Amino acid sequence: MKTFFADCWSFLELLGVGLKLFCLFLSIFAILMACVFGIAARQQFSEHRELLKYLSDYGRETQAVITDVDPVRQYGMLTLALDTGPGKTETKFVYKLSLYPKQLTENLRIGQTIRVRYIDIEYPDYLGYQAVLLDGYAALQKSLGITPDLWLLLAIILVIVTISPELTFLGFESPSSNKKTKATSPVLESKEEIS
Amino acid sequence: MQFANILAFGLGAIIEVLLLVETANRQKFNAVEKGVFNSRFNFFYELIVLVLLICGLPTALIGWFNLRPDWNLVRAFSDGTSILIMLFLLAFGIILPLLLPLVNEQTIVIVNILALFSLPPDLPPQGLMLVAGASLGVLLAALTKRRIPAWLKSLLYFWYLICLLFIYIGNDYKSLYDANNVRGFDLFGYLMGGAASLFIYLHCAFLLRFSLMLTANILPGNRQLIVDAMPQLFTDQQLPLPTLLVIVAVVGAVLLANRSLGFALPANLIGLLILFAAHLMDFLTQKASPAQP
Repeated sequence: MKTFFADCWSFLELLGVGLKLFCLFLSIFAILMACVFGIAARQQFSEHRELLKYLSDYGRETQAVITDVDPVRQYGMLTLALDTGPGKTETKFVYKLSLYPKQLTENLRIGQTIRVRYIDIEYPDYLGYQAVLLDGYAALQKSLGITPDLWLLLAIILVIVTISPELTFLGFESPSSNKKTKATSPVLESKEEIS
Repeated sequence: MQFANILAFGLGAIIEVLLLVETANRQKFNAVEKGVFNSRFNFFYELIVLVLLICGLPTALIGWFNLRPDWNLVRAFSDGTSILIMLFLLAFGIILPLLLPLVNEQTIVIVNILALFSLPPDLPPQGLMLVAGASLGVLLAALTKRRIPAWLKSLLYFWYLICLLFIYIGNDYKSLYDANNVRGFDLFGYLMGGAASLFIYLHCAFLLRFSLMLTANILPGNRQLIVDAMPQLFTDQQLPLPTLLVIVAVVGAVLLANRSLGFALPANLIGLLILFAAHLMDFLTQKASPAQP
């Protein structure tokens, strides 16, 4: 029995070392992945702000019929037939459904009529094709516009870096190797030591 | 964007790189390169003046005469500048952050004031309370004479980077380098925009790495790492308190006067004041102190 527990313990120790080594290997990519997160998050944030700005300045509310629901593309996408005037319909899209509250998006069906807000000017960019759900507009305004998959990526990076931080601190030497520089640097009004 | 504006933006970025190298050389390696033309002057300041003369003059002429080279050439130059800036940010903002100037609580106070002037007007009350609390904390840290522990330094530095991010978002530095942005020739504006943008981009890039460094502190075993890292980013050298109060009053007065009179673009003025806080305040500290044998 004692040998069994000892074997289990050494197996767990080995597993721990393996996990640590695995995280050390992954931490090589952590900074690179943080860059990917930064660039993608900045892009999504800027697009979201631009969309909100245009919706606020040139937004118009109307009825729309859902013609397609795609939960995968564009982080969840709706295709809409928009009522833009007497006898006129236009095709618009609602992107990033993952940014809306779940209770609002889980019951959306093809053929359902919903209230939306869209940009009512000629806009050459892809923003011109977009609309947002009116019921989720308030939630969208509070959101940063960064999709859950990016937050998940950040969470994974943070866990890896917390377990294996050595490479993240690479290039930041300890003060002992910097003593010469500090001792000779002029100090006008140095702060007191904490007693 | 006019070709001359792209040139001015690139020139501003080059000058900021030279300023960063000079500051890092002085702060981190305690070295001052003597000038080639006059040994009383700093070599990097001579170089900055030389670059301004050699590149600034043709840029100004191109702008005044509104010379328009082939669009493909403009596009290639614009893309080349962007790629060089990206490579610089990757190298010195993320992989090897050697060029980041050392800051103290006083620098953070000035940057914090600039961030307060850049906040969006529709900030929710919770966000406003958070900003007010953090700003008060920074002010208290700058006014007290006690040396603050490394963990608090790391939080202050994180707030400093967040303030620079606020300034970037609030003043929309991206639009300065937007090819679709139609503006007239503005040599000083784009020069300042290039310099301030590079400084802010560099710190925003480092914010990514510093967030990782800060998160690693959750485990007690990792805390020595941030204690070792902070002397590379934070200094305890300070200007005397009356001097700081005068600087804060002048910065506040200039920003308020610009808000009511509008004598400069807010982004340019804030960029100028950031560069003053990062490069010149430290220079003033070292100049005012007696040289030690």
